Amino acid sequence: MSNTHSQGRGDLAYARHVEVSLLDYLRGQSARHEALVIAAVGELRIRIDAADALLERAGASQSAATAFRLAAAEAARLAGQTHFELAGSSLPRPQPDSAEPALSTQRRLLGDHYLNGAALADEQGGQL
Amino acid sequence: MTQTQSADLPAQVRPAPQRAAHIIRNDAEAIEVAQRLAEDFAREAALRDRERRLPWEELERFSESGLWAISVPKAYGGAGVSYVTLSEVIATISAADSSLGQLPQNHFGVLSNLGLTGSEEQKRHYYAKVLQGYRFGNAFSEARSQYVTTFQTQIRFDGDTAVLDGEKAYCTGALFAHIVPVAGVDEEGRPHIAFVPRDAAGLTVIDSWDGFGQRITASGQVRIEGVRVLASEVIPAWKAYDQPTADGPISQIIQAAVDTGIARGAFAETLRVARQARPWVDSGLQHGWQDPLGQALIGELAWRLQAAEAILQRAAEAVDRAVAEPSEEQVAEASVVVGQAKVLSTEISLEASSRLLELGGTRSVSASQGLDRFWRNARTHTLHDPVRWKYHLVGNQLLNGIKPQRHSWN
Repeated sequence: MSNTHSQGRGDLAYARHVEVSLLDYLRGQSARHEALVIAAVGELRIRIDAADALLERAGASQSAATAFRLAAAEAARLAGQTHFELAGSSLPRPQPDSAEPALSTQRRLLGDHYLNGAALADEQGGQL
Repeated sequence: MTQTQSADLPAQVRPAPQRAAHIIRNDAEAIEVAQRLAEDFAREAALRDRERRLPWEELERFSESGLWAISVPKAYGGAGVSYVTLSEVIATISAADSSLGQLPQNHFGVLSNLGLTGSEEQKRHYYAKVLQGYRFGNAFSEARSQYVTTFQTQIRFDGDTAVLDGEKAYCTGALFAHIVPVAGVDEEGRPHIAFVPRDAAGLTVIDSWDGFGQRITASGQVRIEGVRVLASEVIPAWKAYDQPTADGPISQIIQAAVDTGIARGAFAETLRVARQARPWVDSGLQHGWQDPLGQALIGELAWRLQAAEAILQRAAEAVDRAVAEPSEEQVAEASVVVGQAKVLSTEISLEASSRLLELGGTRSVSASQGLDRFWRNARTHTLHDPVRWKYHLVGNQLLNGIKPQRHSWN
């Protein structure tokens, strides 16, 4: 498994864990029937499923792997934010096992790839 | 049946195709034909938009290509392609010209409803016509009802005929159609669809569409005044929603495919203009394409577009499962995943079409390039139904176990 996959899987697992916690909490609340709460839960599920759909394709190329990584990060970020907003607390996000380029850098590298055909390096530094 | 032909028809209106359409045999051929046509349609897309030149000739090539018949089941001589393929065809055409991508939207929706509610004889009759190259338009949305699902147009059955009266809006495809399917409710409030010949007496298609996007869809009004058809030209459309069927998700996934196509087209143009853009004076760079901030924006668009594409494919697979096994669970699942595709395609079509202009700089707003059409088209088409309620639809199933209501917008 590549480092990109691993980091992305970690974020996706975190997002799912937060979603389970959030659903458990909300199912005991009358707010579960409020339109804005329902829509926020829906948005989180959409981000999680988008990352999951990209995970299925992540093995196809380094650009697909990077796309998955960024989608998983968004799912994790939104999960934390939604939990804070609807449940009033945050759940700790586990530290990644290893370092990776900043997400903004990965975003730029992906853009450079599409714009200029720049090769995306895998985690070992090889050109894919 | 014998009718008096309506007066004042545009010269291009034909009650039947002028030439027999090619018959596409399988999914692969459908994709290949769509790619070829998309190259053709892309060439004058900006010009058609700027001049609001209605695409009569392009539509002839489109339906003659056989693409309008690809969902006709194999048992009736069609290719019976999957909804994965149909979605890809619509997205491919929409990337080139989203008005052309939208025009068969209701045609395919009607074909789905025909398959679900038509009699064997009706299916044979209308599938054969579509294979010949007939185009269906639509006169579904009411001009004045409170909800989109509330029909006011009346259909009265009178022996072996039926008479329709009403006024419709947003009738995409009606102007260019050979047959205009009209939705009307009977005395019991049940919607039916009548297949009305384009030149039928009492049917008036008004080219009143002045939307700033999707400009050449001619999505104007239709007046239906005492239009009489044979009862055999009417299908009981309500039956598609009286029980679980894939009719709603089918209708919706085509919408998502159009918007995904707009996003594809906008992203491709973004890359083109960003390569030509000047570097910003403070960047210290020689070329605009070296701009790290611009590259990051493009990277953001790239993964979001990939996500929308991936979910669109999942949604189409869910629709195919719901077609094969239309259980309550499968249909609800298809509605939910298609709702996700609607959200992501809406977001990326708007985002990509806006960033296109930002990354192209001021020169990209020159009217001669027509690059604003992507945003205008995205903004217009994504208003078909409010996407904010798709987040709700997805969340309600997840949080409260409430399945989406069954109608054409889910």
